[in-house]
Amino acid sequence: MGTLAPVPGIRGRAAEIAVLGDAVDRVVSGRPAVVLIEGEAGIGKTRLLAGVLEDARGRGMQVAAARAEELERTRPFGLVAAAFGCVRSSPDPRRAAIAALLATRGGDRGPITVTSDPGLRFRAVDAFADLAEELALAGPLVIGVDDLQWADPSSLLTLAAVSRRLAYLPVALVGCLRPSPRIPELDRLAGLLLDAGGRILAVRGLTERAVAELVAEAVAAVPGPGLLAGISGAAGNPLFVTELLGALAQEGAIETAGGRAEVAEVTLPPTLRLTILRRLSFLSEDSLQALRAASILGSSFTVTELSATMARPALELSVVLAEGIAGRVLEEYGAVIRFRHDLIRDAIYEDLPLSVRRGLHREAGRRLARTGAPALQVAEQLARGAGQGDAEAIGWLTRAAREAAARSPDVAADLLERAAGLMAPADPGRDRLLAERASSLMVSGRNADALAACRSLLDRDLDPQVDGPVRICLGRALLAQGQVRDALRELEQAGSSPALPGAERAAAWAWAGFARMSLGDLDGAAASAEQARSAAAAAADHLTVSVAMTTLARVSESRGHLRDALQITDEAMHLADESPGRLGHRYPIRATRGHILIELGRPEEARSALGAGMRISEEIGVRWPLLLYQGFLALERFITGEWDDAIAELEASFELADEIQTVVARAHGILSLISLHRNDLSRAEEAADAAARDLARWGPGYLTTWAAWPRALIQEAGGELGQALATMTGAWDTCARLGLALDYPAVGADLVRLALASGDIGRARDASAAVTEVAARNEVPWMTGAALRCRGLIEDDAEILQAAAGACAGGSRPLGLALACEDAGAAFARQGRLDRARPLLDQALGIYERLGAARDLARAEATLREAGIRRGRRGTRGRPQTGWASLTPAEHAVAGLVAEGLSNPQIGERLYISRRTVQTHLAHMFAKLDIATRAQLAADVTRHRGSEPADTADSAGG
Amino acid sequence: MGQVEIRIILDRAEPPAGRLRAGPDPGDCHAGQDEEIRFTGWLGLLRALYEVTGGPGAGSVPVP
Repeated sequence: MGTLAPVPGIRGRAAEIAVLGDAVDRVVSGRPAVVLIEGEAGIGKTRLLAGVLEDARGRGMQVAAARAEELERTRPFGLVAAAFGCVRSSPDPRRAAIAALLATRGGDRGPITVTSDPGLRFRAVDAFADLAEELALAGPLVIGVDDLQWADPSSLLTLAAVSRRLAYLPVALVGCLRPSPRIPELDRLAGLLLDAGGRILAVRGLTERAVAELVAEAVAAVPGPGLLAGISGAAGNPLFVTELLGALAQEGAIETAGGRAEVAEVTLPPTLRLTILRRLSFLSEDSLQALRAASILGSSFTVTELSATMARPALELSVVLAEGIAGRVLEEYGAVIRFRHDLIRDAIYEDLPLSVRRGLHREAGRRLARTGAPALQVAEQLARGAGQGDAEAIGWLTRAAREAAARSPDVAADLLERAAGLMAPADPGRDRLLAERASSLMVSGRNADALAACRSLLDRDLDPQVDGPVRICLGRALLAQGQVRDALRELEQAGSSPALPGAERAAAWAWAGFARMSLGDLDGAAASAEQARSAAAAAADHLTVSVAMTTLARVSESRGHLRDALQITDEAMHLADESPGRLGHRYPIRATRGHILIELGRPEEARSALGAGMRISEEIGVRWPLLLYQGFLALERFITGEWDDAIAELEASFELADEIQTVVARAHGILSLISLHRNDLSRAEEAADAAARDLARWGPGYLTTWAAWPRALIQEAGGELGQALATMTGAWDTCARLGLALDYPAVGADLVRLALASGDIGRARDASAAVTEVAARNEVPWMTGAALRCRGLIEDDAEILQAAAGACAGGSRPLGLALACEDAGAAFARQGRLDRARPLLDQALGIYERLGAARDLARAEATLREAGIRRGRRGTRGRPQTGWASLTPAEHAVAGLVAEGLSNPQIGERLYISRRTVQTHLAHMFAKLDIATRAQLAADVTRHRGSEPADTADSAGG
Repeated sequence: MGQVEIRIILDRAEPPAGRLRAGPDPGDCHAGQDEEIRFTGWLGLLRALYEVTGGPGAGSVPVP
């Protein structure tokens, strides 16, 4: 067919090729690069991608490449698995392990579902990101992904995770996409890549000159004006040009004489599709039949699949397909055969009448089912051929959805929606499927869609057995969005339904307890959690037991009974250890335990508990608990004076919160406090605003203090003393009303200070008494110090304040110690006892310097000056802002492990921090050291090794 | 080949389906009988046209 030269080379794309060449150059120099090639179908994106991949291979780089397919949009991780060659038979154990993970099934218990394994999806995402990172650590890597508009949501999520992880590695990500269709996940990925410095390469039609060159090469002659005029109707689309030339050549319309090619007349079909069909019409009928059947299977297919679909021997088909390959309709691509372009497949497919297409799909689905093809493939075929009420298609779609659920809940949700769409509205099973869909949407993080799905179901008169689970799903989706009151209403309504089975009722009560805890209703939370614990234990629902007991521990902790709280977590941990498959640990008990240990002044144990919990969350792939762990690790770093490391944890948690669209009020509060102490008032205000925004949806409750405390201190810094006191008393009174006694020792001294400054001695005394009571109950040094400080401030008693400093010195909270020392020093100075004042103020100054607490430092220095005291020996200055000496202890540790060649997950495991936090440390180090690659960082480590070590002993401990 | 009158009767427009009827030019006294070919799709229509006109796609098309 045709008398044209082989497929012509790329023409008129010098600028685009240069951009792609630059990307490869960047990777060669150890830096990352991202290019998204965007343009209409047939414009030449795939050729450009192929060119850059060939260039990369030619330079000895690793290449991972694949093309997404329209009919495989429901295959979870299909694109990335193909790109990285993750098949069970892979000789690389990492790739084989990922393939095994993707094929995970529950053995005899049937497929794993979103309920049984909510984290499989993110485990798979992390496994791909780990693999990409390991490959990139070994050498430059180019990832090429074509037709992103057809990619499945899980693959898009993976590419986003990979791009974040690889920010400092020699990796290029080159993706091709059409302007439409665009699913939200693709928009999110594109936005993320562009925000991270990626660029869009918009590919437009070829210039007239480039078209002329293309035609000249194809016809092996100088094209005449008639030929060029006719071809100009292709608007510079290279596929259109070559297809048109092919059709003309087959018709014998091109005459070549004297090195010049010309046509008498070009009758240009109105569309590219008709041009393609015009060319294909010269194929044999046998070939056309095979191509029609193949178009039913999608853009690519195996001979075996086609053989099953057509019920023809594979050998016979191979001969028929050879004609399509010779005619540039098909091409071989590894083990599959694919249409040379999606548009060629589409032209053939759309040329079949709708009724024929549906019949062929149905037949293909049935035949593929008989050969044991994957449920997704069968379901896709049957669904495309299905009419209303087609039980066979509904059954396969449901089966495929359940198989896909754990790996890709979005895909499951879409398949279930299609299944439900085929069911009659009165079908009793329809609501169950829609309830299952809502649950998949919730697990996939599509909270708004989940809410809409639940509400649409609840608008109807639901079967009581469906109503309960839908309300629980709605409640949890509302919780995830921070709409705690609405969530509570739904959860309690579900819990009161007599039709709900025991385990589900227990879950409803447990989550209702969680909601009440978030609202600060400690009594209500305890009651719901107790109810949930009994019911869950009876139903052997180990996960719900953990949820309930953790809430009970949080209630005790919030009331200021730390040892009782710790004991509850001991028991919960024991039960979780004993639960089958350690299922109870899927709920983050260790986060609460870590927080209790922080408050008990046992930071090392807290870090250990939080680190271990974080590992589990990463392993099971459930993300929201990571936010808790990161938040508490940040709190621990803040409290123990490692503020830069606290900020690294906070930034990692903000990124994750943004990704899973949830709120992190405490984290914003910590950042606000650090910024305030460091005299960065604008950042402090921004963070306080963010904390307030996060809390606004909840109303006054559990975390009120974390928005109000920094706000009050900012107001004090701005000279608004009355306002500051009002803010603080407002939060204090909320805590008092709710019984949140644990907050008293943390904020009591600041309230006492503000109250005394405003002349409200009664308020100061009440606060002091409350702090003293909590401190006496717990006997923790920092709380004792806080109670003494409150008393000392009220009585203006320097000795008591010094005793406060002494108590604080027995703990691990340098800021609290410094503040007590400063108060005691100032009190002695006011009494004229400068010999007692000086060492205390010096100690405070030293700590402030090490913390970088510029605001406190300035205030303490002013006190010193006013008292006429000359400062004694200066302590170690704070870290510089840039250069090797600016690195924090955690950054030094990360840098050392980077130099040893460890990947981010390996570093995270060694240091008990999350992979994201490792990434944040790297970002900070790269900025401080003005470098761009891990290799440069490793070189810096080597250079500094053996020389004077940076001062890593300057942790701001008292 | 003498002049031929071709009529296309469409049952449906997109993709096209129907019958293609080719008859002798009414002025050609040596002409034979009408020929009718059913087709579906543009591909079917094109191939039906080749069939009645003896165009390049008619019958078994050799692959160069």
